[in-house]
Amino acid sequence: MSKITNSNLGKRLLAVFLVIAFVFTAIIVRLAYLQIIASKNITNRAISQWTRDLPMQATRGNITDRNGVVVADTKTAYTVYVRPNSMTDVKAVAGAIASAIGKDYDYIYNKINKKGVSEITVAKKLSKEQMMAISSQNFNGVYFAEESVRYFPYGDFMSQILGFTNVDGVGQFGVEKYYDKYLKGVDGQILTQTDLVGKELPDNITGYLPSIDGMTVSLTVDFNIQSFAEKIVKDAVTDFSAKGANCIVMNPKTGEILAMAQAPTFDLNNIPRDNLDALYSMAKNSMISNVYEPGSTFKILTTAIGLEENTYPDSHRFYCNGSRIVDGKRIKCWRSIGHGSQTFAEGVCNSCNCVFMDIATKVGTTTMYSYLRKFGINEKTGVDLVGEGKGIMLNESIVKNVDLARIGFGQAVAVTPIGLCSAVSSCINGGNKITPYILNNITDSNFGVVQGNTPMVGGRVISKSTSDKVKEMLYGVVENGSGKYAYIPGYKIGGKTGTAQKYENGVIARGKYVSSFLGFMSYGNDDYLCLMTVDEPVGYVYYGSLVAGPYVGELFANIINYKGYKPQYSENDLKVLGKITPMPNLMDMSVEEAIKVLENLGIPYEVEGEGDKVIGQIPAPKADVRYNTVALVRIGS
Amino acid sequence: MIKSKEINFKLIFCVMILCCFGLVMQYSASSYNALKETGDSLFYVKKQLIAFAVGIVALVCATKVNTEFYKKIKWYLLVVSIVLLAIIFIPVLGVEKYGARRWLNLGFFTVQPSEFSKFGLMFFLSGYIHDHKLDKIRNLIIPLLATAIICVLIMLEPNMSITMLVGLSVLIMLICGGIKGRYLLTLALPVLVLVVILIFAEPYRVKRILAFINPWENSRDEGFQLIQSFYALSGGGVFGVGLFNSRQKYTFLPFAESDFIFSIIGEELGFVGAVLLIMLFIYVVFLGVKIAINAKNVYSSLLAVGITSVIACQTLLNVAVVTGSIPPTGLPLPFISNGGSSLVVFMYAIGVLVRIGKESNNTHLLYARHKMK
Repeated sequence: MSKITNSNLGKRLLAVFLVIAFVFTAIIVRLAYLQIIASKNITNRAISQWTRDLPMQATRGNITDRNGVVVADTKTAYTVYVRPNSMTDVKAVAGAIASAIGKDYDYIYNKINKKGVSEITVAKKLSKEQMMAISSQNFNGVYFAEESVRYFPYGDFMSQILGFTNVDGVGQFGVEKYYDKYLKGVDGQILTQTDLVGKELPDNITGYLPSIDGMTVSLTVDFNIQSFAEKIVKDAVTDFSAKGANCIVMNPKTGEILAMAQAPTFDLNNIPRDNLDALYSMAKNSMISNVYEPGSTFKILTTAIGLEENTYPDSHRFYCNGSRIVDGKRIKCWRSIGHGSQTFAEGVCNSCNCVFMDIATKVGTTTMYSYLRKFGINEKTGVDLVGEGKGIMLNESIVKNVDLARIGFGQAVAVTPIGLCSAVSSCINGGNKITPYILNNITDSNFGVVQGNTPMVGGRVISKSTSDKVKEMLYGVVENGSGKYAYIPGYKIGGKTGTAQKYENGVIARGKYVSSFLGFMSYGNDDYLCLMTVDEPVGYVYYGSLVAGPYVGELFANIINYKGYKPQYSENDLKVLGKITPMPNLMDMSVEEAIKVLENLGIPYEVEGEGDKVIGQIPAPKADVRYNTVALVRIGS
Repeated sequence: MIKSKEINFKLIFCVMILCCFGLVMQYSASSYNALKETGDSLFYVKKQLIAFAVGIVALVCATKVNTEFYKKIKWYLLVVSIVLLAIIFIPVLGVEKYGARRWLNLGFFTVQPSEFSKFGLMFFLSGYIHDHKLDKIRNLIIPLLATAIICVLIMLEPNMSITMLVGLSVLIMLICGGIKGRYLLTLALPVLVLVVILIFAEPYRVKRILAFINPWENSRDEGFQLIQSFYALSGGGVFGVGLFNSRQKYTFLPFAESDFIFSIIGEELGFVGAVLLIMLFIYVVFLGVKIAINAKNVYSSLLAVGITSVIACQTLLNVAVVTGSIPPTGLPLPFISNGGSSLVVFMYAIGVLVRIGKESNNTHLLYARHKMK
């Protein structure tokens, strides 16, 4: 029988079934691979498609002065954006946005009247008021996003110190750059579960990774002293039509920077990013990056070297006939008729170039250079700011006597203002090397102070006795010499003026000067050192003594006032000032009576107006007047 | 006398479990998309419920029809199968979706004729092979010709996967029908060549095979679906993310409620759930094999083999595709995937299986008694 049998079919069927069961088993093995062995690896790839993350911007840390005055803050700003497909009244929306942000209606209308775009960012950095003006009208398809943006409460204040960030919030200049990693914080994330096209899932669990706000950076800068410095640099530029001016105030014992002001400057809240060249030149901190030929302020260093090396006995007298001949070349003193015979101290007071030529050439190149290196003239001070430059010294091997003589009075050498301040600090602080710094401390809102800062007082540069002698000589300069415009009776103020000719393309530029004044003041344990430089003052007056000196005097006077330092008059001061007496009340007196009272008290006076009766007086009654104060008496009928 | 009411309730019970489980999984896989597209999260499930009800009626009806009836009408079944596949190409009646013409428009709903035809061919073959022994080469001509016509028509839709399914099922039918080994080998070679030619004839098939070989390289286009399936399965791990908790169903995995529903099952119920489901399918196939072995005659036996092979091959192909074991083709998972015509036809086929079992119980007992004599 050739017909297939049931059992034959059964055998073949069982074989087929076994094959099918085998293939199923193979697939189960494959499943085990996918679901167990490779599960983690493959799922890791899937996670990124399951969620969309929105970055949450960390709030940038504040920058404060040493007393906690916030100089760089953040505020909430709003971004307005539209979804064209949901907008019902494009014209009304355009009108509302244009009027709220003060932009052209057509510009806004063209910007938002686009189809086929899901979302358009219309404007950024709106204030709360501007945002409210738009949102209160409840337009369809108009949305707002919040972000925190840098805000500088004082605008064009400390601009070069604080610096700024780029539009993405990355520090680019100044403290914003140097301490960026502390200020920026850590951005957070909002993870949203979405479908393939990014639509949020119905009951999605939102992952929330909070941002960590930036830390607060406290600077050594004193807000008030900075204000005084800001004022004098602006005044100097205005008064002398100068190209620029800058001013550093620091503590010469510790290196703490108390103020750093520069003019012209710019508003940090409205950074002129359109003109990058101009922005760069204004944003650059000239006090740390520019080098200039210091001129006479450099003589402080030569003085210290001369004293430390005992170059000449105390009794030595220098003779100045208006010039010295060095290596056959005539080098002039600034006073062409000469200063005649003078002691070292008198020479310093007179700022006589010949004195310093003598010292420098007698000390010799090797010694001179070894001191200048100790002062750190040829290197960076290490100040914690971005873009510091270093001074320039001629190569020691090519220095001839004629060069050395000029270095002695601050030519043929270039320094940065901060470098000069640092070097001079060593001369007057007892002889120690200091490193200027601007960071007071860094505080985190959770962990408190995370990084403090202590003065870095390095090795000895000159002896304490030398330092004391230099100080005394410089007090003399202010009391009797070229620094007298910075003098404030009753206070210990020392200093040195400087006027340097500018070079352009290696040639002396006629009529272009850098006028400077380096002054210092001590009161109790407080010490201040201030270097003010005015770049290219215009006009006949260019001497440092006349240009920069008075501003430094004004600055110190303001500090005295702010700190409430009491004057301690020397005998000489009292002679000049006379005694203090309360101003008498002259009101309603007859002219004759009033004059009699003032003459009895020995107060000089001026009378103004016509009439027979006193109708006004300056100073007011009971105010402290000195005998040399001129009282103003206004009379009328 | 004989107990004539021996109904294979094990098989019916398993199929009901599969169908109900399928409905639950379809709801999970499709509710998000359905709500997004139609506003009704139960859109797909409602359609399937109707099909399920129709399917139950079909199953019950099938158990009432004497299997000898199909033998009588086997030529009509073949002709209807061919005609149904052919009329898809009449513009008004055929519906084109996803670049293929697979559906027949019946006014208020569409059906896939290939779902009917694949079983129609099995019904014809079991009858024909019963009448004509396969040990003669000329007796192979009609079965192969019928298979070729059906396959060509399905390929024209085009639908490679059902063609493959039909090919595999016919192969099993021929093996069980007693084809000689050397005939099988002489047949296999030209078929293999043909398959290769067909693959390379269509650029999209080549792309799919490349995507299958390295899906990660084409994760944006060709490999996308496969990778999404991997993400689902791997995301499930051993125990799954829990029923209704799939992440991949949120528009990531295309055809999550139909061809790729196994991935969602693997994701929500894990390796354990996926293996249990495969076991249940193997058990259903095993029950089918048992019915075939115990069938009252060779015809019924071959009919049961045909039905069981379709179920087994389609399940295998579907799971092999979603696990990336073979290049992707669109084929629903029997009883589980969304798709009305498929469900109804499969349930009718189960009904036929039950009927074969029921008929065999009588003869088997008779046969046993006969032996005892």
